[in-house]
Amino acid sequence: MDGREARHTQWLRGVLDLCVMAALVERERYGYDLSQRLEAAGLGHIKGGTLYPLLARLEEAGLVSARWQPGEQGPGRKYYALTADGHRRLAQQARDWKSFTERVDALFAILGRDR
Amino acid sequence: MNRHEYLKELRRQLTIRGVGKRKAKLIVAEAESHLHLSGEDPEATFGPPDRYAASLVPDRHWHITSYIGAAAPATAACLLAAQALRTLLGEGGDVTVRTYDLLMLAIIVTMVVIVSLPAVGWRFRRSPWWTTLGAALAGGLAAFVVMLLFEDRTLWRLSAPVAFAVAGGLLAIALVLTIAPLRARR
Repeated sequence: MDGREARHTQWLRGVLDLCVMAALVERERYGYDLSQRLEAAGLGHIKGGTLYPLLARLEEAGLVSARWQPGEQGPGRKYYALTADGHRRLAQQARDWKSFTERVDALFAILGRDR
Repeated sequence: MNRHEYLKELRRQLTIRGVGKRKAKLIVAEAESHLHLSGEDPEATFGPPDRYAASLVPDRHWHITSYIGAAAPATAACLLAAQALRTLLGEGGDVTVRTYDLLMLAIIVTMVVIVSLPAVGWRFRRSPWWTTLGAALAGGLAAFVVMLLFEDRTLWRLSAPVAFAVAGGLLAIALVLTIAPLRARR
């Protein structure tokens, strides 16, 4: 892993729970579908060993709910949906994230002025 | 390790950590579903089965430790309250706590812990059989040494109301030790 990739991983670690919850706003999803959605959003490949423990923590915290759908052919799927608490938490923390990145952007703006 | 072996080992690791059969089955089925759809290698996706199982299940160590910690004051409280009641209803006088009472308490607590540990999620399979046997032999030897070194004498003399109060205090400690890990898990 090069330095740039390591930095991205570090950033993602801090907001992955919010990204997962955001991906559940559109509709309920099962684990693999979620990882595909996050990858399509440009966040890179999220391994199952990272995603499922995170989903388990969100479920335990009551921020997502889960239901098991038995499969007709092959194994079933566990669908996750955002709860009302999850919606509230996501809205509040998305505002906090926006305010944080605005402050960082304002600091970085000096780079443009220096040139 | 192929997919079948990985999932079998994952189920075993979850069982070792005290996960119920139904929940373990769902976790394994979800991992199987992911592997089926992605075609990925199990260890590359989830990591080693023991570490993946540990990341999914809250640490029960504190829960078990505090449960064992709660068993001692709870048993002592019951024995003390029973003695105080017997004194009140019977010949009267004080409640006495003797050396051998403490020995009996240690034996009862050990029995209570051994009998009820599976109920709080412990699995004896986690440790080899000889460690359990070794612990039992060491405990028995320690009790024998205590009996040889200390004669049975009165340690404390308490009036019945004080004995009830002490029993209440011990019960409160046991209650706190039982409830604390449940609150921590939320």
